[in-house]
Parts: sequence; C-alpha cells; structure tokens
Amino acid sequence: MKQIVVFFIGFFLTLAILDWFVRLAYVENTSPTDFTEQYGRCRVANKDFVYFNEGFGIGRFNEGRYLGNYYTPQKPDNVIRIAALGDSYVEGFQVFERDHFLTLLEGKLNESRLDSFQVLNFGRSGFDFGDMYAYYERIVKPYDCDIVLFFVSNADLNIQQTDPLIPRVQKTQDGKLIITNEEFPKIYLKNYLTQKMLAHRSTIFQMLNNSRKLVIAGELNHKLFDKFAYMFKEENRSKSTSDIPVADLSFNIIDYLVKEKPDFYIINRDNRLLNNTFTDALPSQIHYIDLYSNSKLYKSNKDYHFWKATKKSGHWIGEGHKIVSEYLFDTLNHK
Amino acid sequence: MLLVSSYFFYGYWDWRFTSLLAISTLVDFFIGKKLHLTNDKKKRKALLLISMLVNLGILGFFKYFGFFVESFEAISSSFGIQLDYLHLNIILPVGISFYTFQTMSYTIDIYREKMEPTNSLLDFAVFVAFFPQLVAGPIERAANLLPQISKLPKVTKTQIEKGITLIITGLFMKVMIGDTTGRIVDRIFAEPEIYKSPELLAALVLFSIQIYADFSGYSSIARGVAKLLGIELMKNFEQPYLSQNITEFWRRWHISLSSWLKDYLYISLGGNRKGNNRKYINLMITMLLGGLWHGASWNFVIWGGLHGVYLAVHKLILQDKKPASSYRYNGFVSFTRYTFNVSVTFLLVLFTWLFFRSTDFDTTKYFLNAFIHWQPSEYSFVFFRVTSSFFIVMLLFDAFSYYTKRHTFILVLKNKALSYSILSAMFIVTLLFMFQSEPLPFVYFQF
Repeated sequence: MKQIVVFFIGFFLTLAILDWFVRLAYVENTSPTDFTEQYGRCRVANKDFVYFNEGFGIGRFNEGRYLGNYYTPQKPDNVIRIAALGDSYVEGFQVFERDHFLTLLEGKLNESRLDSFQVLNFGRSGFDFGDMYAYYERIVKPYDCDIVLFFVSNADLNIQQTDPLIPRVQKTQDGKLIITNEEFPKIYLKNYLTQKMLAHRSTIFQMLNNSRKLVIAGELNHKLFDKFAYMFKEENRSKSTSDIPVADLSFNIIDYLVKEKPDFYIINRDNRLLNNTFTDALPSQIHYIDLYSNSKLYKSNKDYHFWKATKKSGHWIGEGHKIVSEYLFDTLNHK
Repeated sequence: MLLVSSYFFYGYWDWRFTSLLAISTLVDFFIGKKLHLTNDKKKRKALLLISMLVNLGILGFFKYFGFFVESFEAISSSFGIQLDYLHLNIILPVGISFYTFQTMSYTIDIYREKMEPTNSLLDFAVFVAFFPQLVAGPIERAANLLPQISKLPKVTKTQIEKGITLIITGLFMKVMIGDTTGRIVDRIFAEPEIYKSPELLAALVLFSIQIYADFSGYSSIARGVAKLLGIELMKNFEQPYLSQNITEFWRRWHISLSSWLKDYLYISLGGNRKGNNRKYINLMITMLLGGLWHGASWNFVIWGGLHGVYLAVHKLILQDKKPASSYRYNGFVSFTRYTFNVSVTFLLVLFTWLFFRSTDFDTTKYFLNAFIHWQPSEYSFVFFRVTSSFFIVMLLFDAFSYYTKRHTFILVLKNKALSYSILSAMFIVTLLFMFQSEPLPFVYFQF
C-alpha cells in the first residue's frame, strides 16, 4: 500500500515538474483560448506564445485579447486606427510579431506619413466571414477604428460558423442582422469551462487535448502505423475548395457594413479569384483589394507559401508577409 | 529471428539497400575466414585490401561521389571547363557509415590477429545488421558483440529493468529535448538572415544541446533494446559537455567512433610512435577524416580540422602530462577551476558546431558576422528562457549520470516505486508529445 502511495506521489510530482519544464521551454503552450459572455471564445489576455506551425512564431496576446501593441479603446484625436480581421493568415502564428505584415504596415505608415497610425490585429485562426463580423461587432467596434480590413477567402464567404462558442450572426425574420449567444450549446460550454481551468494551467493537459483532437480528426491510424496506415480505411481529410458558394449571409453583412462609419476593405487573400457573384455585388463604399491578382505573391516563380525548414506548404512565409505589407501600404497610401 | 527482424527494420526505410548490407556481410565473412587460414603476408595484405576496397568503395560511391564530383566541377570550372554531366542522383543509404566501419573493424582485427573469425555466417550477419545499433551505432567491435550473439545469453531481471530505463530516458532525450530544440534550430539555420544576433546565438547553443540529446538518446535506446535481448552494447557517450579539456571531450563524445578512429586509423598511420611531428600530422589526418566521415561536405572537414587543431594544441601544452579525465569535488577553489575549464571546453566545442550545422559557408559567415556586429533582439529574454530551460535539464541529467557513473541513475533511488513513477511520468509525457507533433529524424541517420 505504501509503495502505491509513493508511486502516485512520485508520478504526479514528476508530471508537475515536467509540466513546468514544458511551459518554460515553450515545448507546448497552455491553451490560448478563453471565454467571455461578450466575446464568446476569444484569446487569453496578456499571454506570450511561441508556435512552431510551419514556421516559427513568437508573439503576445495583449490585454485587449488581440495581437501586437495594445491600444486603449479610447482613440487619441490625431491617430488613424486600422483594424484587421481574418483567419490564420492574419493571426500569423508562423512568423515573429516583428515580421508580421501588420506590424510592418504600421511601421511603414508611421514612417512615411505625418499622421500617426495604429494597426490592431484581430485575426483568429479558423474564422470565416461570419465569425469576423461577429468579432467586429463585439470586440472591434469599441476601438473606434477608421479603417477595417477583412481578409477573406472563398471558403470564408461560405459562412459556416463552425465554432459553437463564437457569437452567431443571424438574420431575423424582419431582415435585421443580429449577433446572438443564444446558440451556445449549454453542455459544450459547461465542458469547455471545466476544461479551461486545466488547459490554462497545464501544458500536459493541453497536449492530451491536442492528441484527442487528432484522434477525432482521423489521424490515429496514420500516427500509429505510419507507412502501413494505408491498410486502414482513409478518411477524406480535405474538402475540395472549388466552386464554393457564397452564403447569403455574406451579402447581408456587406449591406450592414455600408451603414457603418469606418472605411471597409474586403481583401482577397485566397490563392485564386474571389467568387465574382460576391465581388460584383460589392457596393462602391466598400473597397476591394485583390492580393491574388495584384500583389507579387502569385506573380513570381517563388512560392511564398513554402516553408524551407519544415518543407511544408501553407501560410505566407516571412517574405510573403513583406510583400503583403508593401502592397497594402501602397494601396492604402493612395487612398 | 534476429536477422530477419534486423533486415526488416532496415528494409522498412528502403528495401533495396538491404543488398548492400548483404554484400558487406558476405565479403567480410569470407575474407575473415581466408585471412585466418593463410600466413602469407602478401596474400593477407591483398585480402585486407579487397575488404577495404569493397567497404570503402560502397561508402565512397554512395556517400562521397557527389561531394568529389562537385569539388572537381568547382575546380574545373575555375579553369573554364564545365562538367555538369557528371551528376548522378544518389540516395545515401541510412547507417552506411556505421555498418561499413563495423565490418571493417572485424576484418582488421583478424588481420592483426587480435581475434579469430566466426564460423557462423548467421552470427556474423546478425553482428553486421543487429537492428538496435544498425543505423546510428554504437559502432560495435566484433570481439564484444559476436560472442554475445553466438551465445544469446539469457536476459536477466536487471537487464530488463535497465533496458527499459535506458529506452525511456533515451526517448525522453531524443523527443523532449532533441526534437524540441531541433525545431528551433532547423528554422533559424534555414533562414538566418531574418534573425538577430541573440537569436542566432541561442540557435547555436540549442544545436549543441540537440545533437547531444538526439544522438545520446538514440544510443541509450539502442543499448536499452539490446539489453532486452540480453546483449550489452558499449556506451557511446559519457557526459561530454562536462569535460575539462578537449582530449577528455573526445573520450566522452561518440566514444565508439573516436575509439575506432584511434585504433584503426591513428594507430595504423603510426600514431605517436614515429616522432613528434608525425604524431601531429597523424592526429590532423585522423580528425579531418573523422570530420569527413560525418558527411560529404567541406563544413564537416573544417569541423574535424578545428578539433584536430584543438587536440594538437592541447597535446602540445600537456607534453607528457596526462590530461584530466574526471572530477571529484575538493573544495570551492577546485570546483571553480573545474567550472572554468568545462566552460572553456564547451565554448571551443560550441564554435565548431557552427561549421557542423551550417549547410553552406554563407550561413557560417552570416552567423559569424552577426556575432561580431551584435544586434539586440526584443525576444532576447524568450530565447534566454528557452535555452536555459533546456540547458538546465541536460545539465541535471548529465550531473546525475556523472555523479552516479550510470546512465540509469534513476534506478539508484532506494525506493523502486519512486523510480518507476518517475519513469512512467517521463514516458507518458514523451508519448503525448510524440503523438501530437511531427517527428524529426535522428540527426545521425544522415551519416
């Protein structure tokens, strides 16, 4: 009996020490997500992170739960404030914060213009246009931005709002666009809040959680059997992205944005043209920037999505961020 | 069974190269037998030469052909002659440097009449292809491994306990230290131009940790697996970064290779028997070739050359004195001196790792330039925190091993339940990390 007690004490003590080491050395991060009634599932405030997804990213979620320098919602008079919304391309965990296109853009604008510029990064991995709009309404609006950039792809316009804990955009019967928390699944939310306690404190729990997600995503056979995984039925891991329809909600969001004060920009960050039913319907008050057709991203032989160290193709590499920042700077500078 | 599983293990990577393993095995088995049967010196030399030609021929073709062609092309193009057509797309077979050296040592030992050949082709084939150490060593000597293979001793309870401990600690070193430092190192060395001086320095220090954790982790796993089969393999590492001088470092780093080079190259060249000048020349040749053994690149040659210079200078300083080989605490002053010596030795070794890890001279130059023209980074603290965390964990591992003189120091604890609990926790965390992340190949697989 005494030996069993000693075993368990030793086991949990070692786990605690290893957890500490894993966190200190950034082998794994504790969970970067939090939950508030206002924002739904959002980023943790005041959290440093180091990520190794494709590239190598170091940064910090500030006290406003977004990336980069923290600016208070109260905007000083002489400042032009730009907010960027989008998915993982905008959140940009693959590069150091100093090399992120929004940091570079802020620097360039401040260097070249007499006005003072503040660029706020509200990008969130996995977000579609609906999530971005909900985030805009709930988080970004109080910051009184002059310019709001929405970075979208075709898949983002086919609004699915897959994260059940992000406030949902809905069109009411009388044609109004509302953001609601009503749809939060109660049990899911309760489980999340219980898990959150551990996920914010323990990296080992976070690793367990990541492993669970991989199993759910059908990676178990591949992980366990490596070359022989083909013997098991492969799940269809990727969906075709060609001819993705634009959700009606995307048009409704645009109709609503027109009525708002800031200058809105829709920016195509996809590796092909945005669906023309959407771009043709954009009113003149909403600016459109097409990175695919106009920036150098797709106009040279170099693949700005290929990561040398990991030999993976994915998000923009450092040079890609530079190109995007230069293109945005030129475009915004002319407006 | 052992032979089949060893060939399966090797063939799992690429079955075509099992033929090279078989060729090496057959040639040295029959040459070994012939060598034993003949006393004719000329015939013996000819037989040894055949073995060398076959083994070094295989190694040379698969590992160094591209390197020599490229170097030859570079020289010829400086005279205006283009020789691009010489290019062949040759795949480097995993572990080729390890098993060719292992089979060669068998033939040389028979030639030197240090051992008798085995009569069993099966035993010899297992000796060459023994899967735990086939792809990255330790480079075993026939005198140690062959008798064990022919007897296949019964596995003892202690061996099982130590074997499992070595596998778990080795896996922890490889995955939790080696792979995690490696992902930072790989990214920074791939694009050094976007990083600042403290970040580059951290990458270099982390590489020194990665290569040690990765390679010694592999060696521990190999020894652990062999123990589970009742076979004892030699130790390949003995806390090299706690060495007080460069000579001691080479007695503790990649022991199976350094002792191989000493026994079969340095001594064959005349060692220190042919005068002082020749001693230093032999040392330099050994270290330069030792560098080249790691890979077909001038960076490895420079790495070996630097170590050769360090060793020669150290020998010159020492003259006939024996270098320090271990440390025992003897008061604060002695500990300070020990710490100073260890730090200097580590810095010297660290400098050479830059050449070892850089894939080209431009990278090396970029690093050196960044160290000279220091540029601060806003992430200095993050890098310091990461580097020191890994450094401390490695230091703790090594300090315990050094003090207890055991790689299985966790078993020294009197309470077995406590030892097992530590191992279980380490194993679970390692498995979790392995499952959720992309694995990095063992650094020494490429050699």
